[in-house]
Amino acid sequence: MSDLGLDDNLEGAKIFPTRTALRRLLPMAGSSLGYLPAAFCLLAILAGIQVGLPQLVKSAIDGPLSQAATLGKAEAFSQLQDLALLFLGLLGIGFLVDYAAALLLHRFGQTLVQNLRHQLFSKLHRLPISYFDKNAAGRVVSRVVNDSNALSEMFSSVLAPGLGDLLLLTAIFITLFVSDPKLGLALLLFLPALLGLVAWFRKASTPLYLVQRRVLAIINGFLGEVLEGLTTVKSFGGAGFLRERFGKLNRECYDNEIELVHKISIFRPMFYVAQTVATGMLLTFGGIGVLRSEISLGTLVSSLLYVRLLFSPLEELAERYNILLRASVASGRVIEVLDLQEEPDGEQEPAHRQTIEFENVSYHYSADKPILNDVSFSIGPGETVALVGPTGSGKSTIISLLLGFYDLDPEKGHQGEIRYGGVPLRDLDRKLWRRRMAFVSQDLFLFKASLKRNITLFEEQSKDSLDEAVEGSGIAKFLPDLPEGLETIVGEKGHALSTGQRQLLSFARALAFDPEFLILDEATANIDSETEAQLELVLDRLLDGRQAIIVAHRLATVRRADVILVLSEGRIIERGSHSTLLAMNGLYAEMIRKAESLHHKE
Amino acid sequence: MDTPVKPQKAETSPVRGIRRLLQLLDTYPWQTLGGLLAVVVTDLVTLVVPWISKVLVDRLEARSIQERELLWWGALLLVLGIVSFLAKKIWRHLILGASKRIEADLRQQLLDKTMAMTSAQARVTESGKFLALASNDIPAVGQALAFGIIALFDAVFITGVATVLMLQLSPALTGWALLPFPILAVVMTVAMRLIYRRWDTAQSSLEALTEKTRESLVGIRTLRSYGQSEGDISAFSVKNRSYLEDMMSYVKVDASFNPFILLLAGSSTAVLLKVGGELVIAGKLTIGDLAAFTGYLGLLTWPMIAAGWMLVLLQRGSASIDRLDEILTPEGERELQTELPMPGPSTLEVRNLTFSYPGAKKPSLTDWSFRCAPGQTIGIVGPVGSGKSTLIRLLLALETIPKDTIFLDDHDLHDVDHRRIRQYFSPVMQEPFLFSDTIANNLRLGFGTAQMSELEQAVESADLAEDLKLFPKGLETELGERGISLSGGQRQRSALARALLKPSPILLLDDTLSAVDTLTEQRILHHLRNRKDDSRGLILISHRLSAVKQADEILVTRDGHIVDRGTHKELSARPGLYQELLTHQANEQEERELV
Repeated sequence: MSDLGLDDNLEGAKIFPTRTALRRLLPMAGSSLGYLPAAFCLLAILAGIQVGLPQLVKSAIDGPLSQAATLGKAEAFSQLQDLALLFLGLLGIGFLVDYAAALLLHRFGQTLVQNLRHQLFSKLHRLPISYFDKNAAGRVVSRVVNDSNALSEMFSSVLAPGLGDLLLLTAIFITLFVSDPKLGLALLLFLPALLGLVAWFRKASTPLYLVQRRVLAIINGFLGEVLEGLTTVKSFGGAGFLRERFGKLNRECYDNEIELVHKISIFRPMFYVAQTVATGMLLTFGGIGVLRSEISLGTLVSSLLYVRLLFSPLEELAERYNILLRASVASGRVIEVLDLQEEPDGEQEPAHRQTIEFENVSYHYSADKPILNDVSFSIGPGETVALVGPTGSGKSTIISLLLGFYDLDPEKGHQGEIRYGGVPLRDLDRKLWRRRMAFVSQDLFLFKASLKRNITLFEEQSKDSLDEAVEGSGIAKFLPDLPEGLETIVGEKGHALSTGQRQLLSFARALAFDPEFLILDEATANIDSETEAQLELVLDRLLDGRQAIIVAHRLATVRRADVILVLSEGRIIERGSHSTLLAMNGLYAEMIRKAESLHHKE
Repeated sequence: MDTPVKPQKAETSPVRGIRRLLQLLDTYPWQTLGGLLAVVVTDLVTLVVPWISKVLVDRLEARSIQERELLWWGALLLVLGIVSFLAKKIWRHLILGASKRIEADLRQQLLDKTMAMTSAQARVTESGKFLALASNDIPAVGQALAFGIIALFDAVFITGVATVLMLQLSPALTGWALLPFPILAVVMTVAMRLIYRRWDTAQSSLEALTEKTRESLVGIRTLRSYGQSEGDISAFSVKNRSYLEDMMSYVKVDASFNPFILLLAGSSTAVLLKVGGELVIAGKLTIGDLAAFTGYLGLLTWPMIAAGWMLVLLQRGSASIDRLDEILTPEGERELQTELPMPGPSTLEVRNLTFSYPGAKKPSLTDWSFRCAPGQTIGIVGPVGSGKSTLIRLLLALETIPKDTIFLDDHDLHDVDHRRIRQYFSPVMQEPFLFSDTIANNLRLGFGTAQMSELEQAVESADLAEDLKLFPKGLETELGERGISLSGGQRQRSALARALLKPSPILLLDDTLSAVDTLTEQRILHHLRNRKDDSRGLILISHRLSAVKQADEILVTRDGHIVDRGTHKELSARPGLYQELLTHQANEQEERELV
C-alpha cells in the first residue's frame, strides 16, 4: 500500500481515542457537557428497568400462575393485573428515559462537534501559509468536516450507549448471581471468550479499515478532479485512459472490502452461536436444577430472557467497532490540526507612515535552493518600488515575506531583517500589519458570495467606504449589467465576470480597505484597451500618496516607480530609475532592447 | 444563504427509491438469491429455539423429563448454533459481497457519467455536492443494500412465521399480543417520510458547510493578505450552526425509533402477562406456551427494531440513490454514427459560422470563415470578447456545432460524434488543468500508450525538459494534492507537452503562453514551426502580436466579427485594428513584457 501515500499513516492506531484525546475534546461540548452525566443517569435507570421487567415475569410465573390453586382465582387475577400494570408503567418510564437519553447524547455530540469544527476553522485562519502550501484543500476540508463528523458519531452512538450497555451488563449479572449464583457463573464464563473474539477482530480488521479509508480518499479525489478538469478530459479524449486508471483503484478498494467482509462474516455470527449455546446450557443445567428443585421454573424462564438481553449489547458494541476506529483515527487527525504551530505573532501595533526596510535578506524554502540572496532596499512613505526580473528571480518571495506569509528564521539559516519604522516585522501584530496593506494579486480569488462581500471580504464596512470603492474602481459602471447589482452572487457557479471586471474588482477590494501600503502583482493577462485605460486611472488613485511595491510586467507601470529593482537569481543586480538604468546599459537595458527587437524583427 | 435556488425536485417517493435499490441488487441475482436462502435457514433456527424452550419448560413443569434427555437437547441447541453460524456467514458473504460490488459499479458509473457530461451539465454541477455523492451517498446505498434489504426480508419472514407459530399455541392470545403492531405500521409510515425529508435537508446543509470550508481554504491567502478572518469565520459559523440544527431535527425522529419499538414490543408482553396469565390459570395454556410466546414476541422485537433500522438505512439509501440518479440518469453527450475517417492530416474549414450561447442576446461569433490546411498556421488576435475562445470551444465540440459551418476534409462536424471530433484537435487552454498524478500520466492523457521517447520529445518541444531536471523524480514526479505544485509557466508548458503528445492533426493554442516570458514563447514557437515532418495545422490565439507574426493568415477579430485578415506584412501595412494594436504595443510599449 505504500504507493497510496496519503496521510492515514496510522497502522498502530488505537481503537479507542486516547484518554488525552478525550480530555482535549470533551470540554469542547461547553455547556452541553452536563448532558453527559445526565444521560448516564438516565441510562442507569433504563438498565434498572430492563433488568426489572423479566423479574416481573418471574414473579408472575412463580406467583399467581403456579400458585393459582392456593391463592384463589380472583386473588391470582388481581395480582396478575397489578404485575401487568406495573410492567406497563415501567415500560412507559423506560421509553421516556430512553428517548431523553438519546436526545441528550446527540445534542451533546453534535454541540461538541459544532464547537470543534468552529475551533478547527478558526485555527486554519491562524496557521502559517506554509501549511496550505503543503496540504491540499480537499484534505484539509475532510479534517474539518468529515473527521469531526466521525467524532460526533462516536460520542452519540458508541461511547455513551456503550456506557449504557456496560451498565446493563453489570445489572444483568448482578441479578443472575442473586437469583442463582451457579447460573450467573456459567454465563460469566462466556465473557472471556467473547472478549477474545473482539480482540481478534480488532486486530484482523484494523489494517483493512485503514486501507479502506485511504483508498476511498484517493478515489474521491480522483472523481473530483475529473469533474473539475472535465473540459480537458474531453478535449483529450482521455476517458479511456482515466477509466483504466480509475478501474485499478476501484478494484483495489473492492478487494479490500471483500477481505473485510470475510472477517465480519466470521465475527458477527459467532455472537449468535454463543447466544444459542448459552440458551442450550441454561435449559440443560437450569432444567436439571429445576428437576432437583434447586431453582424455580420462574427463575429459569426469566434467565432465558436475560440471555437475550445479555448478548445484544456485546454484539452492538462490536458492530460499532468500525465507527470507533474511524473516530480514533479522526480524533488523532483533528487534534493534530489543533496542535499545529500557529503563525508567529508580535504585539506591537505598527506605526503609521514609516519606511519599510529589507536589510541583507537571504531566504530559502529548502536549504539547497536559495531564493533571495542578500537583498536590501527600502520603501519610504509615498514611494513606489517596482520589481522586475525573470520568473523565479525572487519577486513573489519578497511579497510573501512582506505579507508575513513566510518568516525570516535564523534557525533555518535565513539572514537579515525586514523592518517597518525600525521594528522587525515579527514584532508587529500581524493582523494589524496586514490591514495596513492591500494586496492586489494576479489571480483574483472570488468567494461564492455577493459582489459586496467579495469586496469587503465578509467584514462589516461602512457604506461610505464601500461606495467609494465601488465608484473609485469603476465597478459602478458595470453594476447595472449585473442581475442584482452589488448583491449578485459571484464565484464558482455564480455570475461570471470578465477578466477586466475581475481586475477592477480586485482594485475595488484594495480601495475598500484604504491601505497605507499597496502590493501589486501586476496581471499579465490580456485586457481590452478600454478596461486597460480604466485600470490605469484606478491605479493612479490607488498609488496616490501610498507606499507601494509592484511586481511589474508593463513598461508603463515601471515608469511610474521611484525606484526599479532588477532581480536575477535572488539578487538585486541593478537599481535606479528607468532612465538611470537605461544609461547603465546593464541587464535592464538589455531586457528592454530584447523586448523591442523581438517586436520589430520581421 | 449564498446558494442559488435549487431546482424544485419532483416529489420523490421512498417506495420508488426502494424499488430502484432492488433493481441494483438484481444485477447480482444469484448472490442475492443464495444470500436470501441462507437468511431463511438462519431465521428458521432462530424460530425453532423458543419452541424447544417451550417444550422443555412444559416438561420441566410436569417433571416428565430425565436429566440425560436434557443433555441431548443441549447438544441439539449446540448443533443448531453451528448451523446458524454457517448460514449467517454465507449470507453475509454473498449479500455484503454483492453490495460492495454494486458500490464499486456505482463509482465506475459515476466516473463514466461524469466524463460523458455535456458542458452545460458540468457547469451546473457543484463540486462540493458532487464529492458528497462519492463519499456519502454511494456508501449509503451500499449499506441500504447490504443491511436494509436483508433486514426488510428478515422482518417479513420472521414476523410471518412467528405469527403462524403463535397462532398454533393460542389464536386468541396471538390477537392480543399483536394488537400494538398496527399502531406501529401507522407511526412508521409517518416517520419514514419525516426521516427521508430531514436526512435530505441535513445532507444539503452538510454540503453547504463543506463547500464553504473548501472555499475559505482556497481563498485563505486572499483573506490573510488583508488581515481578515472574523467575517469569514462568522460566515462559516452560520452554516455550521444550521447544520447542527438540521441534524438535530433529523435526530429527533431517528432517535425515537428504538425506544418507541421497545415500548410497543414491551406492551405486548404486558398484555401477554395479563391475558396469557389468565389463560394459564384457567388451564387453557401452559407456562411453557407462555414462555414461548414471550420468546416469539422477543423475536418480533428484533424485526421491529430491524425494520426501524432498515427504514433509516433505506431512507438514506433511497435519498442517496435519488441524488446519484440526478447525475447518473441524464443523457450525456450524444453518440453519433460517423463516416469521418481516423485522424490524419486534415484541412479544417469554417464557413460562415455564426454562434450564440443558449440564452445569450447577441451572437458570440458572427459570420466567421477561414481555412487551415495541413502544416498551416492561423493566428487569431483581438481584444477580449472577440469570440476567440468560443471558437475553440466549438472546435472541441464543447458547444453544439451549428449545421454546415465547420468542416474537416469536407465532413460537416455537426453530424459527427463528439468524441471523434476531439480526436482531431489537440488544445492548450488558457488555464490548463493538470491532475494530481505523475507528470507522465498527465501527459499521456490523450495518448495512453505513448512511449518514453515520445514523451521526452514532447517535453523537449514544450521547453519543459530543464524544469523536469529540477524535479525529484523527473517525469514520475507527482503533481498537485499528492506532490509538488508547478508555477504558472510550468503548468502551461506541461499542458503544451500534453497537447503535443496527443496525435491530432490540428493544434489549438488558446493564449497558451501568457504565463511564460517572451523569450521562452519565441523558443517554443520556433520548436513548433520547425518540427520535422509536421503536417499539423496550428490555430494560434494570442494577445501578443509577436506570437502570430509568422502565421500564414492572421484573423483580426472584435466583438465576434472578423474585422480584417491577412499576413502580418499586409495587415501592418494598412490602417485598421491590427495596425492600432501594433502601434499600441510598439509605441506606447504597453503590452510589452519586461521579461
